[in-house]
Amino acid sequence: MSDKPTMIEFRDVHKYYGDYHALRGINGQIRAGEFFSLLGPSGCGKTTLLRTIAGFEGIDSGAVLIDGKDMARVPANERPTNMVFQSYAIFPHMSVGENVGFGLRRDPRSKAEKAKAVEEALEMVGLKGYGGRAAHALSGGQRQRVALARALILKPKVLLLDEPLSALDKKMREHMQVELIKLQRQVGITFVLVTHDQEEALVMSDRIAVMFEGEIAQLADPETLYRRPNSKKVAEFIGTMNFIPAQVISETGGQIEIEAKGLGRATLPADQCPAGRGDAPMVGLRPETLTLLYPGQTATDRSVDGVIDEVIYFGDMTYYDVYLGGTDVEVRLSMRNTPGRPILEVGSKVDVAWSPSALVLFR
Amino acid sequence: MIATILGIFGARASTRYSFPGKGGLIGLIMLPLVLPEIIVALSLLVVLLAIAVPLSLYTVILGHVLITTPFAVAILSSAFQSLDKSLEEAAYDLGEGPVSTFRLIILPLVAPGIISSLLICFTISLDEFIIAYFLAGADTVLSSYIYSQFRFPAKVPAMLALGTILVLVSIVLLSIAEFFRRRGIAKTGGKDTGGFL
Ligand SMILES: Nc1ncnc2c1ncn2[C@@H]1O[C@H](COP(=O)(O)OP(=O)(O)O)[C@@H](O)[C@H]1O
Ligand SMILES: [Mg+2]
Repeated sequence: MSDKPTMIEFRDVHKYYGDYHALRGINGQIRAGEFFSLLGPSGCGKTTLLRTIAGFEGIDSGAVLIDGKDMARVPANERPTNMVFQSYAIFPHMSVGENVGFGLRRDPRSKAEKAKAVEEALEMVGLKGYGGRAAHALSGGQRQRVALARALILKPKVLLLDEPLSALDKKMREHMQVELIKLQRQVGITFVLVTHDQEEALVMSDRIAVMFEGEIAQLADPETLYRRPNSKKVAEFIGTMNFIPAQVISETGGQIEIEAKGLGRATLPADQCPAGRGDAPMVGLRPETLTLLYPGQTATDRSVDGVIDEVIYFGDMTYYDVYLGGTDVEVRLSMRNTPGRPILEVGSKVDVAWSPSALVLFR
Repeated sequence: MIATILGIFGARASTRYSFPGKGGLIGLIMLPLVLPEIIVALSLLVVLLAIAVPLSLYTVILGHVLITTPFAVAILSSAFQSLDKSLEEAAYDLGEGPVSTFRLIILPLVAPGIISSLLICFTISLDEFIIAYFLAGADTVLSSYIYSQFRFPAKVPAMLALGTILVLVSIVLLSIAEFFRRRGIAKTGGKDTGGFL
């Protein structure tokens, strides 16, 4: 994975809109052939950053490199990138085929060869035979496929996608997520996807840059982001995490001993303790790393007693909110509803298994 | 005609770029719309006489450009505004330059607006009397010609017929213009934002 060459590199990129500092020193690399996502809340600068790759936004300082070349003087129409716009930007006065073949106007190939390329591109996105249709009469999902075919027909080095799925309904969106992953594997082109949907990013990406307020907070693969978020903010943005007040007891050679309210003492290795930010210490743990112990079960690592405060039934899963060890610390844990696991009632006394290896210390 | 071409530039500039004094400039262009025509005609006459330009068909054209440009700007602004900016960017993205983007994407999409603007400006110009009367000098303009012929009783029926034809032509042209405007909006999938009919 990590031996793939770099396709896009950001070097301390800054961008202002008037007084507004939209990109505040972006650094990072996107590797050739990977599915990369820019994830963050609305207004954090994802689209702006994507548009600096496409060449639609200039930057005020720093550099954007594509395939080792500084793009400062390369206009959008000469960059080896193509974009799928959030609105899809299908040309309404053209047929589907004319839309898809638009980028081939300067291609020296013969008419017949171009027509074949268009047909192949349409087939790739599952729109075989749609070439003659009027573009303005397509459904949302079809428009998106046309936009994809139109961008991919030029075989760009990088395909840029700005929230391509946000206009689709949930079912269609999940379907297209899988389609996009397959398509990316098939063509092997570097995909850069902008999304505000953390689930979408986790499902689709090889690596993700989480952005807040014009900065990349963390750039990592989905599992690292989920299991080892480097800040409370990232942890809160991705999935659900319980935060428990804690104290740092001692620090020796990378090992940090903490005492967490309701859980007790634990020693954490350095990789579970991202750099401090001067906040009050907290440990975070995901709901699925906590397990309710049913009669006859024992914890493989540590356990703590508690009282169920809330039961939320989801069909395949049940979420329990539990007060830990006679304290006011409440955690949420999730249990898969398998046979032999009755749903417990509010007020039940339970034992909760946990493991120090699932903790992350934020401070 | 001229008004429409000016209108294209004016509307394009006003919807895409913002520059200091933009509001004031657009206001100035739109001014003839709210002023009584007679004031426009009189003031233009005074100015022209002051700089000693002989009155002719050309001065009538100048006056008509002045009063029809606001209509052209208004119609075309709405056409340009309903145009999604990412369509232009998509064309750049796919390798086209600014000129071919304008020709291949922007022009076809605002064409209905251009046609409707042409027709409306023509209609207004055709029926316009006051400016034609004041600025034509020795040349003949249809509307002032009709007026002058009314002095001869024998010519009245013919002039009434001509007047009726003018009214009909105007109505037909305006309907066609509105038809194009609506079709353009339907085609680009935009919302109907105002219009004259
Ligand atoms: N053309 C622009 N002019 C001024 N401000 C802009 C412009 N485009 C974006 N912004 C501002 O920059 C910030 C980042 O925008 P954007 O990159 O679109 O965010 P995201 O895609 O993450 O939602 C926002 O606060 C937005 O208001
Ligand atoms: Mg955005």
